[in-house]
Amino acid sequence: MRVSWDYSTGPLGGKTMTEDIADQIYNLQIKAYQLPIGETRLRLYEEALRIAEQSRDLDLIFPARIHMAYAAGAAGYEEKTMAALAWCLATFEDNEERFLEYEKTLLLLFQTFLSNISQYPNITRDKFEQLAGQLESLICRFGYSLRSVYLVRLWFAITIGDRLMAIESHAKYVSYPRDNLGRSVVSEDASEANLEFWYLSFLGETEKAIELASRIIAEKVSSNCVPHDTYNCVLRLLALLQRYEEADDYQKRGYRLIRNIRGFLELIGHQIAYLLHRGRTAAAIRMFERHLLWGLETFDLAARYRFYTAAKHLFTSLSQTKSTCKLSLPSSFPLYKESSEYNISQLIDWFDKETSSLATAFDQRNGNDFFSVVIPKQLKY
Amino acid sequence: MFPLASPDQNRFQVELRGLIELLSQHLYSGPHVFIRELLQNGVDAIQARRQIEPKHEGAIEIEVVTSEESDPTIIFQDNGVGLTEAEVQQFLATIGQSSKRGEATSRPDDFLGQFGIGLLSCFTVSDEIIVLTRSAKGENQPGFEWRGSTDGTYSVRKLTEMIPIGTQVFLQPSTGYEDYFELQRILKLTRDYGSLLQPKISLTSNGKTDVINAKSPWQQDLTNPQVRENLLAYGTEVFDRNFLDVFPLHSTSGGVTGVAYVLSEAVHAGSSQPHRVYLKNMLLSTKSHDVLPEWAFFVQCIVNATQLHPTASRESFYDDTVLERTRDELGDCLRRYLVEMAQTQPRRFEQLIAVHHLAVKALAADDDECLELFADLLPFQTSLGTMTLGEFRKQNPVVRYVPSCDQFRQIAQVAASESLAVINAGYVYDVDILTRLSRIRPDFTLEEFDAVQLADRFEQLSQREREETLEFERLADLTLQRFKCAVEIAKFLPSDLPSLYVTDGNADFFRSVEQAQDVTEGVWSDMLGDLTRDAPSSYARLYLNYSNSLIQRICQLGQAEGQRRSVEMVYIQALLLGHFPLKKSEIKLLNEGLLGLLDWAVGGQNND
Repeated sequence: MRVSWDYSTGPLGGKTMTEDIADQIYNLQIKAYQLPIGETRLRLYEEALRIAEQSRDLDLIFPARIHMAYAAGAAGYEEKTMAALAWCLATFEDNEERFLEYEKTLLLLFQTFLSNISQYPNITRDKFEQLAGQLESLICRFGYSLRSVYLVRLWFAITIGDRLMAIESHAKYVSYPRDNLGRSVVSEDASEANLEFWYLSFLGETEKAIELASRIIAEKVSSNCVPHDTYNCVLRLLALLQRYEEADDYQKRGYRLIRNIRGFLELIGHQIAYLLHRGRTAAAIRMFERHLLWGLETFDLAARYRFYTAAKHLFTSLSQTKSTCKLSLPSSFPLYKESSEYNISQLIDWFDKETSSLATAFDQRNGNDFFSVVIPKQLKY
Repeated sequence: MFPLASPDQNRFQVELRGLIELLSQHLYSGPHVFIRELLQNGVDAIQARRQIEPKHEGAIEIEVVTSEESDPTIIFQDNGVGLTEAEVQQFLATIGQSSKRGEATSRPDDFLGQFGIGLLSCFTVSDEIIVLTRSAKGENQPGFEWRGSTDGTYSVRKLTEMIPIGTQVFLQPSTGYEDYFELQRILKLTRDYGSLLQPKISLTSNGKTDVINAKSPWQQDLTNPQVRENLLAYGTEVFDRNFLDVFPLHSTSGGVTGVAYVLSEAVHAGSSQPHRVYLKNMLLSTKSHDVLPEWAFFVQCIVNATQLHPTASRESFYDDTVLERTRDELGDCLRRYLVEMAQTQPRRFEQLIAVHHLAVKALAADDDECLELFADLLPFQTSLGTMTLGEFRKQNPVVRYVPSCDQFRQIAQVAASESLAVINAGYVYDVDILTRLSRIRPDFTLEEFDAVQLADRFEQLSQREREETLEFERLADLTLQRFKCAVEIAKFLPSDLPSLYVTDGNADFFRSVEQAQDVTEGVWSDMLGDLTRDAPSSYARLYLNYSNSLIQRICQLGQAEGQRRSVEMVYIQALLLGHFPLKKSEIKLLNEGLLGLLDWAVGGQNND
C-alpha cells in the first residue's frame, strides 16, 4: 500500500522564472504535468532538473528537484525520491528564508515519503522514530497540525502490522485538525478516506471497509492512489463475502488504473491473488509475465514481496496440474530460459527463497510475523 | 440519565432560498440550466400525453415578451398532459416530488426528468414562478394557476376562463439576472439544449418566430461526400477547431449513436478531449470526458445516449457498468475505423499516423491485434533519423533500442557517425510496444542497446599507438577514479568529438545519491548509504577519441600535470555536453582545473 504522491499545484512558479533556461524548465514541467503518472512523466521532470542543475541556480534547482521527487514517488521510484528529498531537506535547512515559499510542498513530500518508508526493511524502527521526530519538529516549527505526524505513524503501523501502534496512532490522528499541507481539499479527502479504508481492512472490519470502499467508488473520490487502492484491495474482502459480480467488475476497473504504473506493483499482487481465487489462471499468468520486470527492478521490497508471494501461490497452484509451462519472461530474470520453457518447481523454489529472505528481514525489523504469516494468508484465499 | 425525547414526529423545515442557492451553486453548473429544465418538463409532459393520446402532436412554444416599461417575461408553453388540481398540489408544492418518478418499469423510457427539482431551477433566475396548467386527463378539466415564490409560499387558484391543455410557465427576472432573459441568449440556450428534441419547438419575440429543431447530424449517410463535408463543417462550428475526418459511432450498451471527429493536429498523450453528449436528444454536457477510452485522445465526439444514467445535476453520467460497457463498445468502433483504414486505405492511414502516432501507439500498447497490424507503420526516432518501424526493420534485422532519451542523447551522435541504427524508445509507450512486439512476433528480434556496447564497434588503436598512449591512459584512469569513471582510448566518429561519456541508468541514480550525500548526515546519510549498497554498482566510462586531434595532442604532451588537468577538463566538458549535473567535487574540479590549466599554460610553478 502506498500513500498518494499528489499535491494540488501545477509547476511551481519560481521567482526567477523569467530567463530562457527557466522557460525551458517550465515548458518541460508543463508538458510533464499534463502526462499521466508514469515513467515518461518522470523523465521529463528529470530532464527539467538536469537543465536546472546546469544553470547552477539554486532557485531553479530546488523546485525542480521537488517536482522530480513527487513524480518519482508517484511512478514507483521512491529511491529517487529519497535522494532528492534528503538533498531538499538539507538545502532547506541551510536556506530557510530563501525557500520559505516551498515549505508546505516540502513538508507534504516528507510526510508522503515517510508514510511509505516501511518498504525498506533496513529502516529500523529506531530510524523511523528519528525521521518522524524530524518531521514533527518541522511541523511544529511552521505551525501545522500534528495530524500529519500521526498519519505517518498510522501508515507505518499498518504497513508493519503493529496493531497497538495503529490504534494509538489512529486515535491521535483523528484528534488533530486537518491542515491540508500542500494538498487540495479534494485530494486530502481522498487521501484520508483511503487511509481509513486501509485501517478498517487492517483491523479486520470487513463490512465497514467494504462500505467505505463503495462510498469512495460511488462518490468518485479521487487522487493518485484512489480509487486504485480501493478497487484492488477490496477484491479479497468482496470475494470472502462471495460478492463476485462486484468484485469481477472492480478487478477489471482496478487493473486498468494500475497496469502502467510501476508504483502499484503491490496491487498487481492483489490482482494475481484474486484471479487465482477465481480460477482465471491464464489471466493471472499473463499479468505475472507482464509485471515481473517491475518486481525484479523495484527498490520497494514490500511490494516485491507481495508480488513474489502471489506469484509463488500461482505457480504452486499450477504445479498441481503440470510440471512445466511456457512463459514469456524478461531476460534479466535469473531463471530466464531462451526456450521460454520453465520448470514450475524451480520457479516455486526461486520465489520461495526470495520471499523467505524478504520476510525474515521485514519480520526482524517489525518484531512480529506480519510478513511471514499474515500477508501470505491475505494473498491466498 | 437524560429523559427520552417525546415520541412526537416533527417535519424538517426546508429553507427554500438556501436550497435554491445549493442548487445553483453546487448542483448545476449555472443558472442558465433553467431553460434545460423547462424543456425537459415540456418534453416529458408531451410524452405523458402521448400515453393517453398516441397520435398527439407535441409542441413547445417559447415567447419572450419585451416592453420598455417593465422587465421581459418568458412564457414557456407546452401542449403536454398538464396537471389536475390534485397533481398541482402534489407535484408543484412538494420539493423532490416528481410526476415522473414511480417504478422504473412503469416510467416511460423517453422521460428525461426524474428528480422532481426541475421547476425549482427557475427560482435561480426569477423570484416568482407562475404556472397555468390544464390536464388532458378527462373531459372539460378546468385550468389552474399556481404561483410560487422564493420565500417558500405558494397559492393555487382555479381559473374561470378556459386555457389550452398543457402547461404555461411565466417568468420574470430577479434583480441581477436580466441577462438570462435576453432574446439572443435564450435562443442560443434553447438551441444548445433542445435543437435535437422531437417535439416542435419555436421561439417567438417581437413577431418573429425561430424554429429550434434541427436534424441530428449523425442520422445521415456518411458515405455521401457532401454529407461528410457538411458534417465536418458542423464539427468545426461546434468545437471551434478543424478536423481531418469524421466517422460514425454506435454502441448497443447505453443506446449510443453519434459521430467521432479526428483532430487535425497532434495532441499530447494523456490529454482528454471534451465531448458533446446528449441524453435522449437533450444536451447533457459539452465537456464530457468519460464516454471514450483513455487512449482515444485523438478524437472528439458528438453522441446521443438513450440508456445511460445521468447524475442529479444532469451534466454527466453515472460511472456504472453500463457506461463502462458503452466506453468499450465505442472504443471498438474507433478501433475498427483505424483497422479498416489501415487495411483498405494505407496512404490515408499513413497520413493519419503522421499526425496521431501517439494515439495509435497508445491503442497498440493496449491491444495486441492492433499492435500486430499497426506496428510497421509507427514512427520512431532513431540514430539515423525518424523512420517507421517497418523501414527500420528492412534495414536492420535486429531492433536495437535504448530505453531513455538520456541514453539516446549520449550515444546518438556517435552511433549516427558509426552508421549504427538505434531506436530511442524513451518516449511514451515505445518500450512497451517494442517488448510486446518481440513477444507476439517470432521474427522480431529485439535487443536493448547498452551504451557501453557502442564501444565494441570502435576502431581499436594499432599496437604502436597503444604503446604510445598506454601511460597516458593509465594516468587518465587514475585521475578520474575518484569520480567512479574509467577511461579508455579508442577511435570513433565523428572525429571532432573529443570524448564520449557513457553511463547506465544506475550511474545516474548513484550520481543523485552522491549529490544528496554531499549535504546530509545522520540518519539520512545512513539511508542513502544503504540504498547504494542495495543497488548494483556502476562505473561510468569516458572514451577519449584518438581520431580527435586535440586528444592526440594531449596524449603526446609528455607533461603529466598538463595531461591530468586536460583529462579533468575533457571529463567536465563531456559531463556538460551530456547534460549531467555536476556534483560538488566536480564543480570544485572545474574551478581548480580551469585555474590550474591557465597556470600551467602560462608557465606557473606547477608546470614541470
